[in-house]
Amino acid sequence: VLSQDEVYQYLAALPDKDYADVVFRAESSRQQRVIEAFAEELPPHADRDAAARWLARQHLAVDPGIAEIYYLLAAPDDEIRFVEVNRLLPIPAPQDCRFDFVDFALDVDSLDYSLSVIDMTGEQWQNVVKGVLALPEGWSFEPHSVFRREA
Amino acid sequence: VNRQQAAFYRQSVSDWRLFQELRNRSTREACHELHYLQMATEKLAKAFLWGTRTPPRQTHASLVQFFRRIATSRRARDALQFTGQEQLATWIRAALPLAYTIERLAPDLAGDGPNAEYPWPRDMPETAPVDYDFAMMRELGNARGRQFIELVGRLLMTFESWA
Repeated sequence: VLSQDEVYQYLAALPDKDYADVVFRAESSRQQRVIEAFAEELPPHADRDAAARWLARQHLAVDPGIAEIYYLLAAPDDEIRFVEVNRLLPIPAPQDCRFDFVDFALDVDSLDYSLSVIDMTGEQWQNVVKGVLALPEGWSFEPHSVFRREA
Repeated sequence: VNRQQAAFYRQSVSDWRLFQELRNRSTREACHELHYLQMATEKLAKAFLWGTRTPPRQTHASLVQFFRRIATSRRARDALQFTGQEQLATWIRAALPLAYTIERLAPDLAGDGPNAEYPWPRDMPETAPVDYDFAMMRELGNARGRQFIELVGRLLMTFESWA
């Protein structure tokens, strides 16, 4: 696997036409992942775990800033809770060391769950695990499962 | 659309008009165009977010969240006349890198880096936005940038039918 610097040097040295081809093919491949993620239909009456997996796949496909998604399992039956670790978003320290969540206002066919999301950096997530920062009242980071970008 | 949404929407439309006027001037200054683009998109995002259970906070950071939510919205898909959700999602996928960059144009999110309003770095300002060569301007001139502007324009025109 090439390092980012090696990829950069390789691309910078390519003739213009070859560069355009490479960028176009890479972008097409990424777009294809989005198309596949969004073309996959959610089965009717999918359980919460299946719905969470389906939503996480779409979020990871569409947003290059999301590194991983923590799916928090301790939640009301009709709510999916995600912590989305983002490597591009400027995320200030939360007020009083406690994060707020946002309602994702889902508007999706055959989905019977609400989605609540907290964006944070990887370092902030580590601080949540250590107890330095807190999730909203009534939230717990354990137990959780994690969704990551496909290689 | 509630009153808070309507207020943010009207301001967004006004900022967007000014952004378009600045783009059509014979003498263009990047910082002003980008400032109004950032303002218009931030207020569009907040107009949408005021319609959810968790209204936006004071922070400027809302645009990326907004686009992520729109990607899965049936109403937005229909209002923008996309045939499938994946078609809208690919547009959002193309728009998000620009949204991340625009989000960082606001001074409170730019840190000591370039922003569209105030000289930087904060402690010892030496570079004025008006003198700075924003790479974002070239992005907005290419196919992806034009698509981004079209997407925002279409979202503004159809706001009441999807928000």
